[in-house]
Amino acid sequence: MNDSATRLLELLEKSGRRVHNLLYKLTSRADVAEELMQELFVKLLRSQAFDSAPNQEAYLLRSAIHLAFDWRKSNLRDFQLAECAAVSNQPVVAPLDVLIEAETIRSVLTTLDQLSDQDRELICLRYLQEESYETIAAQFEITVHHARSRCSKAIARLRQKLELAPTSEQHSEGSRS
Amino acid sequence: MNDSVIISAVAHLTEPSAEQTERAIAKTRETLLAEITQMEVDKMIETPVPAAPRRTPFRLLRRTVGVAACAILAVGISWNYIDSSRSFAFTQMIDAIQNAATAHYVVQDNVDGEWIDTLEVWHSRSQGVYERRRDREGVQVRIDDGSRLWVYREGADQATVAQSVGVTGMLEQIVKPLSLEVKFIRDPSKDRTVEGTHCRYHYSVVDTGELVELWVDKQERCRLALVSIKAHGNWEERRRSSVSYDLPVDANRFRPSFTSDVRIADLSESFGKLFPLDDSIYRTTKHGFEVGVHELRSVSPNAFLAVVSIRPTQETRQRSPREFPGQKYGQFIAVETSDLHEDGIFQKAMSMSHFEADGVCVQAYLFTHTSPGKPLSPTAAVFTIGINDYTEIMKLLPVRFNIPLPSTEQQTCYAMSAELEKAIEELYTKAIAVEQLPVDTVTLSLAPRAMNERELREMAARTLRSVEELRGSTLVPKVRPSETSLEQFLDTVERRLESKSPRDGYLMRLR
Repeated sequence: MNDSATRLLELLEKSGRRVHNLLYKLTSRADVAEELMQELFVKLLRSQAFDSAPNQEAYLLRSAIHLAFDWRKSNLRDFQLAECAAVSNQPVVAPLDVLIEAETIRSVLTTLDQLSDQDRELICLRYLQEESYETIAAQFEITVHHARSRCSKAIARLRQKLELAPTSEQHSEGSRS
Repeated sequence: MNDSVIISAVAHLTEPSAEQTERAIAKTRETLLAEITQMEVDKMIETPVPAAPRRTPFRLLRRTVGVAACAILAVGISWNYIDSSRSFAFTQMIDAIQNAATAHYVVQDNVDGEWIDTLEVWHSRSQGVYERRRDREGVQVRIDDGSRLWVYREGADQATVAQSVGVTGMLEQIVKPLSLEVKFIRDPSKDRTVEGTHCRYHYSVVDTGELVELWVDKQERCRLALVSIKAHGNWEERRRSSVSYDLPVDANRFRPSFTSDVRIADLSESFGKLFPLDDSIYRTTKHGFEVGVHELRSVSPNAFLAVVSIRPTQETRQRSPREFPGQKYGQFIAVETSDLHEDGIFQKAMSMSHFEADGVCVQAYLFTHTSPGKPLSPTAAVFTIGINDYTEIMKLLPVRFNIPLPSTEQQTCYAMSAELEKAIEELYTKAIAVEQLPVDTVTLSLAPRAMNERELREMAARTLRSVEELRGSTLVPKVRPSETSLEQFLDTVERRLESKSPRDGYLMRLR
């Protein structure tokens, strides 16, 4: 077994749980997260860019984020259903709350997809994975101060886009007219 | 929407359970190991051309076939220029060689200034053809004496002998893929004497940017061909091929001889003899088939190779006699599963080869196992195979689904009925649930020593070569019929098909 294959297997053991957690959260489906995870590692096995990446763990997490959002784009309807199911799986939640929360999650994730790659990665790592600023700084090869600042700007840009985006009610009214 | 709502929404997405995560990791590990194994096997048995070529001796050796091709091509295309009334340059090349009592041509490749013989062919009109070709795996010798064709790789412990493809046939195999029409330019200033014969000079820069130079004798036969590439503004000679005619040839060239440790596999005999059941590690008879396990070798701590054959019993043969060459009786299917064993071992089966003849089907599988958190037994291999009774289904389907039977002319291995084959494939892949009929679960002791890389390479190369030799065709169903009778199986298929939308092209075609 060559070095890069060995490194990838080690990375699976070390970071596999984080990657799966991320994929699961972004897709809300266990089967899809499982499939994407396999696809991701097989792709990386054949990727020269990954092989030469200075921080392979960071590369892995970023690739996972891209893969999950790519999947979301092509499976939007499934994803919406899965969101409701994911929310309703939480302990004793009122049906209206389920819809509201699912709507919020959908809005946030859909808008996330409109952000730059870096903003999306920062938000996923910081707020979805709840990584520390130190970890994010190490992964992006920036200072902790910069990591904090960039995360803050990223969330501000997300908020700005969310405020500009039409709500589903406005959207459906627009369609009717 | 304020920041806290956004952050809360994102942070409260449902998390996977620990079980789901562990399962995903185990599956990924399994897939990854299978991919890694596949890549390593590919590396050993294939000859990939790198996307960004570097000039290394190894790369140039891998281009042996291309080198040989160009050299012979250069020889062949000269006829095209000289005698434009002929349609194919390669036929002229073959004619020229065959018209001579003997011909000898050698192709050499320039590897960092050293000339290496990559192809040598001797032809004797009365005795046959001898070919010695160097490729990535080493050196392969083929001898066709007009009645039998011998193939041997230097250093291997097995040679094959099969029915002759004919001397002309073998020459065509060598030359035919190389034919190309190129216009050559005559330049008398570079005429020269080759082996005592005055030769005219012709040249052309072909599409690949290579300079091809030919020296042709007065009988319009190519004597010398050079292929050069442009390097640092100058033409650098890379390939050289020379052809000599009517030389004395040692008759022993066309009489193969092997040391006593080389096993001769006679492919013209019953194919089943290559994999005798009497010598098998394990055998069983089920559903009118005999199954034998012939090789079972540990490749790595989590992978082993199994070579399994399946053949109809005498009774099955009598019940379904062979009606045309290449008729298939059945094949086995290795079971890929994630929960084959109660102890949580994951198994993946990778087909390394498949070949069949005389109704006997032999397949080599590489099984990879992963067992998260549990060590695998170093001495036992467990795998499950199922039988697909292919012929019986093939015979009944035309009647049931009113698919026209192939004409006599079509009754060959390949042309039997592409439509029927496709229909059957879809039957397997679309209509049947994943049901496996295990013939048996084989648990066998492995040799304590793992197969080393060389042994694996030889095994892979041997089986792959056999595929080439036999040119077996195959249809690999993804799932197999249930354990019910054939009639019940077809009924089930029909019912399931009927439940499909009438817009389904498959259903419409069958009805």
